[in-house]
Amino acid sequence: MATGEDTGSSINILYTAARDGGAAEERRLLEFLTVSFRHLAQLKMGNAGDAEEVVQDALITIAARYRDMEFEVSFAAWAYKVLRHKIMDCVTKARNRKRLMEQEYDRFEPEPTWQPDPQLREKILDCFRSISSRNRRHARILNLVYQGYTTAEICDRLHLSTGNFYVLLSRSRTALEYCLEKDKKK
Amino acid sequence: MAGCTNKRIGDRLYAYELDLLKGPEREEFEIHLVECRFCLDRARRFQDAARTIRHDQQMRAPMERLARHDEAPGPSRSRITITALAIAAVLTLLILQPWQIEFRPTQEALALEDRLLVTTFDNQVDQHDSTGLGELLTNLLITDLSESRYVRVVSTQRLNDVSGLLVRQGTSAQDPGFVRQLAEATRSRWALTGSVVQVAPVIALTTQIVDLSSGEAVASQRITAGPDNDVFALVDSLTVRVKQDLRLPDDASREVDPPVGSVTTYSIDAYHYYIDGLRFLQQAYFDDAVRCFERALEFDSTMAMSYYYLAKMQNRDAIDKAVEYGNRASRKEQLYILSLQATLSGDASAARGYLEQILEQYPDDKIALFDLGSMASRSGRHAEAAAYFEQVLDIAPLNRSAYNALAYACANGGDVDQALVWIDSCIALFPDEPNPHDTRGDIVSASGQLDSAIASYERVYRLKPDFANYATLFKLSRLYIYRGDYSKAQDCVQEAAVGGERIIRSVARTYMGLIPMYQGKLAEAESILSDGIAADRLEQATTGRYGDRSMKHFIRSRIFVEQGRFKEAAAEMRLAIEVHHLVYSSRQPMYRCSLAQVLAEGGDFEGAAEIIDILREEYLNNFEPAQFAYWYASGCVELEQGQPTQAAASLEKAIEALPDYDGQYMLGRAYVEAGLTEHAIANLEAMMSNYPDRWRLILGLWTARLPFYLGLAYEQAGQTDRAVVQLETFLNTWRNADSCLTDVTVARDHLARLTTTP
Repeated sequence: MATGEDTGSSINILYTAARDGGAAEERRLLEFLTVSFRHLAQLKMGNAGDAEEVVQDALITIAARYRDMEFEVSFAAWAYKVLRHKIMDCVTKARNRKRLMEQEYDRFEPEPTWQPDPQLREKILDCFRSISSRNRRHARILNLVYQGYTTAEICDRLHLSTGNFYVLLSRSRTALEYCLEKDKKK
Repeated sequence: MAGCTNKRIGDRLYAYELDLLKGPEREEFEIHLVECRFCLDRARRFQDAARTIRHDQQMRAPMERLARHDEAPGPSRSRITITALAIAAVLTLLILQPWQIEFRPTQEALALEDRLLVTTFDNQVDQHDSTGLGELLTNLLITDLSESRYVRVVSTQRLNDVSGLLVRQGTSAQDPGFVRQLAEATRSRWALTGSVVQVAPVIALTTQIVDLSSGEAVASQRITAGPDNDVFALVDSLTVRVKQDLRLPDDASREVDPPVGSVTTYSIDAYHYYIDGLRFLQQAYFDDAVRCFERALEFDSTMAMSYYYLAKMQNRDAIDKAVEYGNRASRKEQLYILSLQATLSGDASAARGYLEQILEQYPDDKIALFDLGSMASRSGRHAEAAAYFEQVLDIAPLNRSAYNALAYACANGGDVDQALVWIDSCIALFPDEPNPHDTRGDIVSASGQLDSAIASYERVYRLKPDFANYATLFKLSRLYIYRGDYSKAQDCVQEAAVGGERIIRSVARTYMGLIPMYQGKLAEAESILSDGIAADRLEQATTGRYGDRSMKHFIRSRIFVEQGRFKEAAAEMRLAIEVHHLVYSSRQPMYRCSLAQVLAEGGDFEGAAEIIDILREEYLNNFEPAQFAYWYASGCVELEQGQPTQAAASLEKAIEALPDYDGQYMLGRAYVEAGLTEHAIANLEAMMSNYPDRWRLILGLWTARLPFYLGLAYEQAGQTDRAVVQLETFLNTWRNADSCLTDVTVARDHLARLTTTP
């Protein structure tokens, strides 16, 4: 039984197979990447069209270079870097500005094209009310997030170690996810 | 569906969605999303919800209300009733549906993690497991497996918590679905069940490991002890086989696997007593727990964790032995030991560091969280303490100690209503356990609710008369005295004197003197204390923090002062210092400031000044305890010299250093004599309802006078009715007092003036 450490994820298996195999193996690897790339790109870009363009661009770069690359960390880390650079290039062009600095990546937000869904908001709030009656920490943490506190500041205020904070957050999310899915089934 | 490829990073998903990850952490997580399909799918499914939570501005106001709802200070009593009902409802919910929020019934991949649950071994040879062999094997196996870096095993604490919850829910441990429920509740993918199938000539066990995500048995074993029937060696062999069955990474086979006996004990008897001690500890039967740990050490004098618990509960010196034999404990336990050692040596920061190390590796470790809460509590950071104790309750909703500590933290933080909500919730869960009632008594007693406190302590007495080594019985006797029920107080003390061990008998003999002393019957009290001292000498009962021989000398000294026998008073106080010094030779002797006071009361200002000089020297050399002593002695001398304003200033500094009962009383007196009426009233009114302080009774001659001085203060403030009530209370308490107590005459004069003046 593993202790939670990476024991060889499927992407590494796919990468090895693609590197040593033919077109079919390469297609499987790129299909695998497409799903995660789309998700990450949409989070940053907001616009689905732009995001798809960035993803395709990144995949072309990866397909062209991955066989010849020697990876410092892992294939996944390199592939992610490729996507990230593509996203930054695209945002730089779209916003008509100088190239983004690497450290600005964290800070830029997608253009506000997204509109909230009032029904979903109500469902989420209902779940929060239900969860808060048993565990108020989730509401407390979110309230602090809304007020702009960083992870370190929240941990300091709630007297939590960072590791413990993530575990608590993870549990709260599971509870919320379960509550929302339960509601869906109704 | 496969699980997360890296749980440590996977746990950060929500933090990522809330945009709490920055820089390298964010990058690490995004790389993880590229490679972990499990987390990616979770993120995609939750994408709309995450975006709504993060970006929808209209989420913020309701969320703020939810967060603040529980944090609003000082709720009204009517709201508290509602809160109490709500809490009770939540508790019911927790009991009935404890895991509802954590589990998705159909998607095991989300609920179950790569963790092993070891269930209690079923003893098929002895159905009632009267020798405790099944429990012992389970504990040892969990301990041994926990030493591996490659196995995540549910801790014994967690196993007991969850089993307790399920049993409360109505599930019997014999139910076929019990193991599955346990595994789901602990999010364990694998469950190991075992049976003792033979005990003679040697023990034989059968075990089975089931993968609960598929429902299939992964492996089964039959294992027999060697010819010497060594349980510890048997568990070691079983551990090796379990690790093989779990198909751990290759490195696991190369890791050092210490024999379980080397991190616990090699004595079965010692281990049995140790487990019993832990059980008593959980129920707050501290004296029983202490006895068990002591017995464990009789069988194995190197059992580090027994020393650890003894040091924690009773004998702080035992920590040295715990450290000495620390290599006979598991890695986590070694950190507990180091943390306690740091705490006892006053290094809170190091203690905290060790506990945080534990939490890094075991985020759900209740003991570490609880200890962090206790540390915060001791430092007066009550809100922080409460937050830790709440975390313990999040992990273990039936943890009695956490309820208890939470109640104290709220009470000490000034929120008595919330404290009562917590402790009443605990009482609702464990109505037949004495400790929650005792805590309730403490809380209401501290808030001045004498009758309610007595009712709680009486409940404790009915459940366990000797609870906490008669501590509750002594508390009850004190409250009876304050209520004027002297015969009931006498009964309590008698019971402790008959049933208690040597130090308890000594305390009881002191209380026997305190009962008449409180009523102003000085000669009777002095005679009883004199007999008590003789008995203490016979029994050599000089040890113990309170009620020991030095305390009796101290009390007699105060009696002699009241009787005008100042030389004897000073001699008696010197004896108190001497005996105390014998007992606590390594620490600074107590009572020196009291000796200065006695000398000044007898007119020996020169003698008092000599002591004050010594105290000042120590104080200036940063010896912390001398700060209170110096200012206290100075204030008392100034008061005797007729400088009450100056005395009040010194005594204010004294209680700023240490808010002790004697300092507060003398300050109240100084305020009255200085004509600082408002201050005097505020001070004395607060003291009137400070029931829990044991010095309230030890200094009973002063406590009985509180209404006298408060009456005088009211009189100064022109509040005649209140003054009359207080003076009458005082005269009633001292209605049979010895004639040497001249305050009785003064009070009568004042009362006559107040009641006859139009």
